[in-house]
Amino acid sequence: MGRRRARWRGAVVAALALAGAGVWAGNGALLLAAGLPLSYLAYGAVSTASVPAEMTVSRAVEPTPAPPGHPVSVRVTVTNESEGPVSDLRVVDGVPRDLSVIAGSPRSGETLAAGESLTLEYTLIARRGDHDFEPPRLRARGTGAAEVATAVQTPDGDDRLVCRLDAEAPPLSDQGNDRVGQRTTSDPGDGFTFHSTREYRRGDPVGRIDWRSYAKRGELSTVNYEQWVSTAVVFVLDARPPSRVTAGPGRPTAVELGAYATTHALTSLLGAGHEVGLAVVGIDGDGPGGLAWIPPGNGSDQRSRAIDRLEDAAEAAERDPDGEDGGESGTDKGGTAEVDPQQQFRKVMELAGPRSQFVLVSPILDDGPVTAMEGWAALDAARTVLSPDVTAASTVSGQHEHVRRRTRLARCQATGARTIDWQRGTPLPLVLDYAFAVEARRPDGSVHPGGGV
Amino acid sequence: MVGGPRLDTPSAVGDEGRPRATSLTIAALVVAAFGLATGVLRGDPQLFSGVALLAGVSVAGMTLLDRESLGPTVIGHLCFLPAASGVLATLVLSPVETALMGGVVLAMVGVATGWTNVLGTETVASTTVSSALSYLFAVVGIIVLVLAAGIAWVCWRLLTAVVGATSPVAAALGLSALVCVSAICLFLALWQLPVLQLTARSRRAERAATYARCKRVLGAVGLGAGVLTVLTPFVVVFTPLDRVLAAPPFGAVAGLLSSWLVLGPIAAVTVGALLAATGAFVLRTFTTEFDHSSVRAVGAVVAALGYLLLLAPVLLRLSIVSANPGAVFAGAVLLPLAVYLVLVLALGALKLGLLPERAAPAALTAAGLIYASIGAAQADLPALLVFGGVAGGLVTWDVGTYGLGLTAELGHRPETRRLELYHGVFAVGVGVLGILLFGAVELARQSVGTAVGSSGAMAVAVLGVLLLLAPLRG
Repeated sequence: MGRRRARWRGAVVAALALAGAGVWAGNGALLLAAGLPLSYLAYGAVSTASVPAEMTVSRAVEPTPAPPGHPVSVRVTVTNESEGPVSDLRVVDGVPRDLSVIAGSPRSGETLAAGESLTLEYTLIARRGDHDFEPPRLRARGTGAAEVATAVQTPDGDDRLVCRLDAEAPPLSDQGNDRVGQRTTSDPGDGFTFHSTREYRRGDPVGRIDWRSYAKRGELSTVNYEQWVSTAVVFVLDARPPSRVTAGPGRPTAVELGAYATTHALTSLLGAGHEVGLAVVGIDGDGPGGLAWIPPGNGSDQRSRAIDRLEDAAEAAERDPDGEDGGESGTDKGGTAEVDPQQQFRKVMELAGPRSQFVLVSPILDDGPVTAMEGWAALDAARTVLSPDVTAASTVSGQHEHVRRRTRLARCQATGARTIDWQRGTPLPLVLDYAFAVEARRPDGSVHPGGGV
Repeated sequence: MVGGPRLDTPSAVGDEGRPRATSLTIAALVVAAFGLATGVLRGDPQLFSGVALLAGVSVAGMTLLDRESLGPTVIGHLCFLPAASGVLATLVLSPVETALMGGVVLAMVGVATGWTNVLGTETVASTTVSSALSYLFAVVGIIVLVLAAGIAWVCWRLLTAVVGATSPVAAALGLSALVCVSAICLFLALWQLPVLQLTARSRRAERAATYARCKRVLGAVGLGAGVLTVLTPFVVVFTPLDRVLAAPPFGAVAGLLSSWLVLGPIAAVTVGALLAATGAFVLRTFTTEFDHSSVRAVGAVVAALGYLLLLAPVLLRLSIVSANPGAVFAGAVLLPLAVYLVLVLALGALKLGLLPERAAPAALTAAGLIYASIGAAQADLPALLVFGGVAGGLVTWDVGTYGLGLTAELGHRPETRRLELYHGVFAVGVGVLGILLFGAVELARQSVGTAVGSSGAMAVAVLGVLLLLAPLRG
């Protein structure tokens, strides 16, 4: 049984007014007309509403698990399995509170005949964590709309959106050898830059035979190229308070996006046999000098250790966006109040050593990362800045911040670093492929201007 | 923080969004059908076309007055006040019964305000203040214009008197007075015009010094001419100056000084300087710190000028054609006050809750149709039209409030046209059934005669039904 709503109080007033006017003017038509509002009143009174028990609801969430910042489509289907029509059915899906709808609507209404379905489609932006959907609420009204019946129905299908940093880890490149190293050695071997020639040996690849020499001298010889070797790559995640911002309500923080990008990159590099290290700047870690630090390595547990640290960083950014927390108990890891980020940046340089490459993952919303890049330039190591864009282009202040960020990226580039601007809407695999694999295959290892992806 | 799953934004169909469009379409069709049927039954299908146009323009003006930019605000003023005054004039002057005409106008205004979503406390208050401001400026403008015309006429008479003067003393007196006024006007113009601001920064200091010298010279000339003007009568009384000036060489000079050749250019410079100073002052006053309140003030001033320029010829024509020009003028001045009275009453109704804040357009439309039905009954129009008007009012209330509730629950993004049309079909169906049923009863009542179907008996019957249905209370 539903709840009744007073919709026709005005009809009572109209009936009284018409009756009064009819009596005053002695007009029988007006007196009769006073009965018309009462007919609507009666119509509303006899109209009843209920949500049929045979109503079925299903929900599909795709993809799940999803990476942070990824659009997730939700499709809710309500089917009237009863034998009668439902004249007015309104459905509101229970969207998780921490997520925001960016397209479509989680609300809809329809008149459903027997066997007909109503479908809601909307898109969410994923944020790290497990997000439970509330069951959809169904509300039915009779034809008179005076009675309202509400029911909550548990749907079939998905009831949770899982968002993980390591979700959907594709290879960095569909072709090539996934080498990230930009250093060449004096040892000859596979590569791109000419090194020398030697006598042909049985089994040498046909592609390395010097056919021009064979045409001149009639002897087979094999070309040696400067061999590419991989080096240790240290990812530095910027989790300082200035980076703990989002592009809008319900969207992931820049730290979360950076953690996601780092997870994918290190997973792919570890899979290719490279040594990968991790440093998280901006939180109080248990490593040397208070740094959250994992030295370069390629052991089997390197990835899980790194993901744990990245999860901690994203958690700290979400828990304490202003960076005023000193840790859960004042001394626990994850606090930020006692952290000196510039000292941590310098500590990374000391710990990584001169033979490592640096990949700084930061939104570059202040001058701190630029200063760090200028400091690391002293090592003459290959450096890359991967910068997720979380500035808003829809406001004047957002555009101003966007221009300042681009200027900082240009300053990083001026130090000799390669800069990659990860703009919203660009798939991460494409960004990473552009950031590492393409650069690795370039023979001269030079740095080119640009970087917007 | 996330505010919730609903991220709706207002659409072009007002804040309430698309679901209202369907309900408002049904309401508009009902009102149009009632107006057309009434016109046909009275022998003039276009009976309400004129007042419908005026009502629509006045609501459009009300909507534009809610905008923040200057252009729409001015157009809103020019649409609202004349059209709303026209609606009231039509109500007063139309041969149609006041209840019938008033009800149809109310229904039309209800539908139009529903489309534009402007029948709220804030909008009505803002419209009242803005429009009253423009009316005030127009009235003050008329007074200022009359005063300026009087002063100009006096000055012109003085100037022509000086030009035609035969006395050398009078010529000298007129010339000195004119020079004094001219110097003052030029001083004012130099003071108000943004000459220095428009000068290149590199030459600004030099130009400032030049203008300071000019101001000193103008001040000295004005002071000297003024002193001369004041002293000349005394000099003439106590010295034989008039006889000296009448002598042959001075007489010719005095004649030259009192000619148009000398006085005309000085008078032209005086008028030009006065206009420039006044224009610069007005522009500076109304454009300094141009914000929302400035837009309202400037819009009201421009609209007041518009009233005078655009409506004056119409009113003059009406005055000439009309047998009683005074009544036309009084109507033009007083009708806006009646418009403001109506707006204040509407504001009071909104404040007191007589008109529900969100459903005010639907309530106004329904009330208008029922009021028009009473008027139709008083005009002895067929009972079916009366029943149709009442049913139409109930249908507009039903679909209007249904659409509002739909929007409140679902926002404006979901497509709900089918849902609302389904409800609308039932609402109209109940109305049609009611019309047929009560039409049959009316027919039976008339055929039976007064013994059973008398008004007293009907009143008792209706009272009984009301008492029976009272526990439902809507």
